[in-house]
Amino acid sequence: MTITDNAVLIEVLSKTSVTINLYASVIIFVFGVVGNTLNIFVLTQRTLRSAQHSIGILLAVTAWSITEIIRYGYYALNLFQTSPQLLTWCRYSFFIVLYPLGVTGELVTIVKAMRTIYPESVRNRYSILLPNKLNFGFDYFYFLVVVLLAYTYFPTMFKHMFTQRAKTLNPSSSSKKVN
Amino acid sequence: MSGKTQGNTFRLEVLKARGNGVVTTIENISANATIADLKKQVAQKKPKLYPDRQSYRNEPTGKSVKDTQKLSELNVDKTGKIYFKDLGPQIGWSTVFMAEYAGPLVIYLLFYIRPSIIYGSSASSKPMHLAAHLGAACWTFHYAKRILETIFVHRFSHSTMPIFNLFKNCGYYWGFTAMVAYFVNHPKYTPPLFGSAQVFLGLAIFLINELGNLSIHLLLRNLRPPGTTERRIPYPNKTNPFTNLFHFVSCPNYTYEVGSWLGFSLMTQTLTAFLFTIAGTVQMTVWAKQKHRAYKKDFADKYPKQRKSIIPFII
Repeated sequence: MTITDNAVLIEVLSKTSVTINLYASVIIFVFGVVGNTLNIFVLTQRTLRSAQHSIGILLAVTAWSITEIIRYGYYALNLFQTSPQLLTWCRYSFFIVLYPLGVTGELVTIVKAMRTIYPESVRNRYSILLPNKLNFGFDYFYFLVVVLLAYTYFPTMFKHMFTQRAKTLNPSSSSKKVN
Repeated sequence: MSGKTQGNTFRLEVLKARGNGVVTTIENISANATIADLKKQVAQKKPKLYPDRQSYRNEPTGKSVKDTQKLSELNVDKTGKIYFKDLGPQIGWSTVFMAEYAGPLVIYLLFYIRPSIIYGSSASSKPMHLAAHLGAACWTFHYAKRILETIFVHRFSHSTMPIFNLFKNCGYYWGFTAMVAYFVNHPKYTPPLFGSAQVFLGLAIFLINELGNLSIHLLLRNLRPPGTTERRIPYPNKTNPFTNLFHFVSCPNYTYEVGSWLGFSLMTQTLTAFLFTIAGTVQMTVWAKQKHRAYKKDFADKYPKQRKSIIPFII
């Protein structure tokens, strides 16, 4: 798991230096990274066993594993200056099925985890309680509510990927001619 | 209608800087016309592109040219081409400031009255510590001061900014206000470790820095002649000792702002207030470094060498 995390981090850093131009790209990028990273914390908690035995985990891990294999294969070959047509097509087409499946899996898991931690006895294990010297509190349940709200950005991200797909797979038709 | 020109008119193609395409063509424009004139003419032909949205450059990838420049000075009359960038929907600079500052005033005070929706039904009757009262007073004072400065003191270089900034800035200010106000006004608020001494020390630091910040804003206003966007090197004046910080930094207004929030954080001993201080400090350091670089570039050897951008001797 840590090797994947490191690779994600390096990829995140290199992507940052190349693609941050427009604010929209930054937000899309941040949401993507935050969403995936937070899920690692939610999904791996041992006390959330009932959530882990749900179909959500299976969906999410399967979808993301296939995606990552294709994506890193693509990047690796890029380093050797090759970019096979088939692999490029896979990278920009598989997401159409895999991303909705993966996001559904994540949402199902988060909701199940929320139902498990709702009672005070479990919730307090994952929260910082008031009163304390720094006057800081953190309620994990409401934090997950905010995480769920962040997913409302998914449709925009998904549309953005279709534009990227059009640009990559059909480069000639994407230049604009205005009269 | 402008009168007949001296005959040095030409045909100008306004091209898109990004991608291919012609925005519009102006058949007869004077070589003596300024960029501002061009913007008005383009806006007449394309009403959606009001002047504040238009940005021009000589090359597709290059720096934008100022409104006061004449087309002949840029050699556009020889090439017949100029490149256009759409800055997107714009909103007034002052409008954005008012919106982003009004939020913190309203939102903090909403938390201050301890509404039952947020804190539960018995919360408003519980006692409130002096630090929480002073927190509300200081927060209100700070943002009321900012609003008044926006109306009466500041002279802005730009009249508009992209409308997206409205949502970004309001999200930042309003979001942080909720985060700070929630904890300082909470029924389970824990007063500072060192009691009244800490509260009053924090308050004093806050007030002194607010005064310093105001002093710098007034000095900067008086530095710039009304109605211009002229830039001069700011120096300490004899009347106000707070301005002496100009001996050490280019942007003492930001230095004092950091000081204010440190005072506030000390007074309330609340983590989110401190996080807000850090966030503001990071952003202001970025701005201060940009301004410092601009000063050094514009004034070269005349600019005092011992100045740093925001923190004396450090950065």
